[in-house]
Amino acid sequence: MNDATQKQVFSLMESVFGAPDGTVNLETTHDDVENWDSLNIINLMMSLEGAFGVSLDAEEAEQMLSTALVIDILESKGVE
Amino acid sequence: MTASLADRFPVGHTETLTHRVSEAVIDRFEAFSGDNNPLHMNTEYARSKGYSDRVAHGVTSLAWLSALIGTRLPGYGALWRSLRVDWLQPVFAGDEVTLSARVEAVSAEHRMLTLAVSASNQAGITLLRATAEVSVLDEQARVSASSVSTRPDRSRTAGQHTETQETILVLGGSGAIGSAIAEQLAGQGFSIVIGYHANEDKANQACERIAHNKGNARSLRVDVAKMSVEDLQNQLDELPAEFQRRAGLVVAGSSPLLFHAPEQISFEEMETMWRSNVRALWLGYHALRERMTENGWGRVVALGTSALVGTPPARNAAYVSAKSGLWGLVKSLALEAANDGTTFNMISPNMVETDYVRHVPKRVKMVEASKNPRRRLAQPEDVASLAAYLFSREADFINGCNLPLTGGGVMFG
Repeated sequence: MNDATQKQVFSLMESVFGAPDGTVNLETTHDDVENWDSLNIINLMMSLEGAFGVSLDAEEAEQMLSTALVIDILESKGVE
Repeated sequence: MTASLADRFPVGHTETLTHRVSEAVIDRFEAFSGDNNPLHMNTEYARSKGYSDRVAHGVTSLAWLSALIGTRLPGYGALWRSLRVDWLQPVFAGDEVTLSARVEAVSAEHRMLTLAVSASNQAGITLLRATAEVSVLDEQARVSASSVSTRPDRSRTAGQHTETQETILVLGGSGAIGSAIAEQLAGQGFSIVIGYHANEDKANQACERIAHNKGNARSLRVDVAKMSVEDLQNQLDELPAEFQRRAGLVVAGSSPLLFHAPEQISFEEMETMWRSNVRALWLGYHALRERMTENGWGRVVALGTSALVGTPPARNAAYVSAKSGLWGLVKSLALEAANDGTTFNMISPNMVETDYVRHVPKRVKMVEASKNPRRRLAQPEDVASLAAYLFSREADFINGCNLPLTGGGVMFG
């Protein structure tokens, strides 16, 4: 995934989780973000689907436990 | 064991023992000796006499000298004959006392050792000097003492390469977990035989790392699927003398994971997995059984999986059923073969980060790590640490256990 796309993902996550700008990075996990909960994961799925034109399923939602995993899932859908 | 006394305990041979003198130690000494002198029991009184704290009973250090003589130099068979002691400095609550005993003279005729003893504290200040004479009972006495399931010789020879050093056969020793266990146990003074099947290079690399750290290891090709007990025994017998006191077995290998769905699994696949696990324990146990019984001390540790108690992973039926069989054999041996001083246990980690799971998708590993309460996968060193504990004297009563090593990722009970 290129840097610009990565930044877009970080920014989407910050927006969904209500985290301050610049706080989400490649190392961020669900331990680091207060609002990383099941409701917001649904919101994140919808944001990602809208932004990248991909379709995400429930199993993938369960796997979204860190930024690295979110990126891995998007990459497996061909997001570059 | 026909070595002469002077061979076993050459002049200059030294053993040490360190203990901390806690307040509880002083209180317990008072309780059984009745010596309640306030210099020992009352901090204010001791300070009024110019000491910084309660002064430990001088004889306390000699109790630990008794342990040093009785368990290490010369160990079992010791009969303490005489002692001359000069107390030089007081010992206070909280001090760490290191006792050292050095062989000064050996009398073959009287089977007697003269030991020069000293004790020092954590600051290096000499607390006492003493001379002790100890006779050494004959070999027969030592053998009968060793029939209790403690370890008569290892503490004396730890770190040295002698004919009495205990040897552990690590089957699957070229793999990441097996070699981590081998290296950890070598660091504790065991001689190691690394049993490998295909990967001779990795087995030899593990031996080199052990040698680099002043340990003692050899590699040996062992085809656990086919080798006979006699063949394994013969090959072990051909190893040098320092590998002959065989007292432990680790079963850490397993044939490769194929991730087949149940309908794809052939009986050959099941059998291969079964042989690499259950037959490995059967083979190693039979090859070592006699020596472990003679020693009166043995340890067998098999590698299991947390899948045995939790929900098994999909597409692993051959692996999970073979590990279940292995656990069944561990339990049966723990019941029927432990009374000669050998214990049998299993360590069951969840996914360990090794080459063995290289075909497991990266995302599955990331999810497993992220969901684990410890936020990581198990490492080979985690398994090695638990194995090392099972090989310790302190683990004597742990038998027939399947010990979870999951970081809380799978919880038992």
